[in-house]
Amino acid sequence: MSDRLTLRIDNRLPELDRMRSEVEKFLERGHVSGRVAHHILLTLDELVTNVITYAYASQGGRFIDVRLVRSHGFMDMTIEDEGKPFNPLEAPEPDLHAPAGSRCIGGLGIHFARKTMDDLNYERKNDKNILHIRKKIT
Amino acid sequence: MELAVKTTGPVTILKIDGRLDSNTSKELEDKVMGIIAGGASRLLMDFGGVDYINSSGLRVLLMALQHLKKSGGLLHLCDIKDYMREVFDISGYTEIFPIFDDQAQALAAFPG
Repeated sequence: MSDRLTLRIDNRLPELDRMRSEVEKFLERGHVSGRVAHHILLTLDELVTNVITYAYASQGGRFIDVRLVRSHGFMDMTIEDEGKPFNPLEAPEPDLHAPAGSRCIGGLGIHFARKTMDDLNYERKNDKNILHIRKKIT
Repeated sequence: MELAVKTTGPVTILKIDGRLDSNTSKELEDKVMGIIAGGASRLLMDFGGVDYINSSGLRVLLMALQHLKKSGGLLHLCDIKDYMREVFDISGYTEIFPIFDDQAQALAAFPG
């Protein structure tokens, strides 16, 4: 049984389908299912979408490395890109109680990650954005 | 993703099947904004066939709600699966969207 998944995806939105398919298979192999699996898939989807959309000047031709490691009680994930420096953890929290007319959609993706993951850390190293994500697996 | 539109009295029902993500939300946006531009003011979106939604899908719902509200319209949602309901909760969307268990309840809740 594989306990590690390494994916290099092109910075294009259609690549998200391939990432999802690979991550789903990896989670199934590791017997991670239900709500926990949904949290992981949603978080990776949102955070990698952010990288594809904002890290580079245009889509296509640049890489994003996604790694998942299943260890004792945890799924540890990293997302690495060589785009412009960007720490998503510094993004302001969305106003979740604003009336409908003045709601903004921005910031919801990282908000999901904060709410559903157990640990999030950002580092800028060797000209790369590296996001470390940890989820407890029960 | 499959989108099916029908009308019941004054209510337009949009049944969605599939995933609402970064690659499909534009199609939903075009359909919903077309329905609203066509004059619909009471819209029910049925999520019974939806198995995934992310923030790009939620963005379309918010946009539809904001457009409808400007003209005094209403948007009801129904049949959202439990694990997706959590996404609505986390987003604070359960506060701004009337969400019902099924189409019958959602239809009955439109006024007059």
